[in-house]
Amino acid sequence: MAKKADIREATLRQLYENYGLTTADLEWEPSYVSKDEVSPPERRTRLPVKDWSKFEDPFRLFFEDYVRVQAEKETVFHDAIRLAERFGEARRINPRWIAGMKLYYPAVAQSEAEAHRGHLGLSRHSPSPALAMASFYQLLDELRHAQNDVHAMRYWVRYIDELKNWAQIYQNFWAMQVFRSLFEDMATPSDPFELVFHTNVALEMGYTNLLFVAAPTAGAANGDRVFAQLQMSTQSDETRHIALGQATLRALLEQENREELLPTLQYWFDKWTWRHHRVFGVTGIFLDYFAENKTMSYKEAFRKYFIEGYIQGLLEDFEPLGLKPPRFLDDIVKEAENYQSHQVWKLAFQYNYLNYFETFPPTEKDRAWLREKYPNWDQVVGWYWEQVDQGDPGIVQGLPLICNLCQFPIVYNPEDPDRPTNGSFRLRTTRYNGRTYYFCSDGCQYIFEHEPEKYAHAKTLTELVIEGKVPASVEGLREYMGLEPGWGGNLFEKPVWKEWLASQREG
Amino acid sequence: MTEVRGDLRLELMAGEEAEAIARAVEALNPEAKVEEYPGLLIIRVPANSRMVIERARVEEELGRAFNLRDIQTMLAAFYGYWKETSPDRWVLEWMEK
Repeated sequence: MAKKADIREATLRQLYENYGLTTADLEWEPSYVSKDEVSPPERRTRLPVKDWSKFEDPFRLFFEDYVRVQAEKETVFHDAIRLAERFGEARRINPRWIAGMKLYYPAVAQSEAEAHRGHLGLSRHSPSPALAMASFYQLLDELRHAQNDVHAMRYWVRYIDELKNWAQIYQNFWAMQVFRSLFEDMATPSDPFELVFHTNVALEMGYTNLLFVAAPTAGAANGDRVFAQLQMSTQSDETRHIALGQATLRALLEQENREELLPTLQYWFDKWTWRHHRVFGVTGIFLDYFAENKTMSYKEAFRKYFIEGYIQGLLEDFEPLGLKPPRFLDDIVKEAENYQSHQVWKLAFQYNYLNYFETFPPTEKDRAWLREKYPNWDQVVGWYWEQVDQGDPGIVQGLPLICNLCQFPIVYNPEDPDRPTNGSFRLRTTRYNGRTYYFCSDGCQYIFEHEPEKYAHAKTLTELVIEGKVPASVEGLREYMGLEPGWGGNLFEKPVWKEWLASQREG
Repeated sequence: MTEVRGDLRLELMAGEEAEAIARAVEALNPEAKVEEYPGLLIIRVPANSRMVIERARVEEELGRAFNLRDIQTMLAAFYGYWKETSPDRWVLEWMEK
């Protein structure tokens, strides 16, 4: 009698060699309803692509194997949470890192859910059966990731209060709007293939390694193994999505009529690379500030994963096919390597009375490390922290001007990289339909001017306050954002930090 | 814009199986380098060569059967393109010019 393992092996081999069985051969022409009812023309791609057979899933995944592999990964993650709960690991995690997790989980859980919605569209309206299947596995991944992030928050609310309001915080918290703006765009792409540039190219090739590989090593170094396991497990799916992005890009750029496609593809490449840079710069603070035990700087992770892995990797292969470096790449490098994470951290501290997670001034040890990694750190923000050392609360009263495209406060100033916080930033404005819109950067303004009808209606939090739709008082704003009294503030002034220091002394 | 192509790289969640894969790669490519990070194992080979993972060699290292598709349970990042992901071997390479 053949052993079960041998039968599996034979099936695996057959399916691998006859991948069409589970993709193109599953396609059928609908007969109960018209094709336009299944997939309305406005939801299908407008790209004039002639030959979709060029796309192939490099992993040749099929459903049975997907379930088996994912079940194994889920088991490991659930075991990690059980072990952490059983042995009280949360109490041995540095509170600085925990403060960061309060910011991290709501943003990431919802981004996964929006990516799920986006891929529902691509999977259904894809012109290529192989791509439809790959996108189908991806939408299952995204939903699983969202649920896993919520499961991780369930574990955390036993120890910390703030995550119990995560959904309201995601909707209304001031610093979440930059994430919301980007992620909700996943569910509303102008074209199914714009979604591929948003998720598979810019997000997954460009930035998930920073988020799901660099950040977990920092999590592990600060005692948070649940986070490390969860994010690495997530990234093991992202690698498949990256391969899907590579294969789609290649299939598009190898079309005979690629000259016709290039302007649209280049715009999507420029747009999404910039949009993700704007958002993921915010996550630089996990590596540079929240982590007390540091593994690498945001700048180092950016060079390794973004520049070497994404930009150079893609252009090496696709420049000969007509793809140009992303517009605004110089601004991206200048910001990420000089001041982006420092500006974000300073801003977060300036508004710590409107936060639900804690921030804190960098310690002497932090500062020595930051100066080593960022030689101009003192000019960029060191002077601000010296003021805080001398008793200045470092707080800013009143709401900041917020960029009408990315929805993040306007705090960057590429005009003066040596002292970007000197208040002399160049404000970019555009008039549209009788209204003035403000932008933080050339990148955000460029995107708005290409698609004003899409972005003009999104009001910033500051605009909502001015219009009286959101309360103008600190108390009212906190309530609107889902913040309870006592949340946020300076971590080093809270009992939890003193308890942590005492527990460290006891060893 | 582009400079010299970076190494082909495989980043795996650390563990017994990741170590066996690293040794299997080294067996076929003497230029392979292995680096350890917290929870992560990084295998690199020069850009102009190829990274080959043969199932038979991984099984020899592990002393038991191994399904190459389980690489997906520990694959954290890769640099290169998957040229082959068959039941017997996985091959990572840069695109030919």
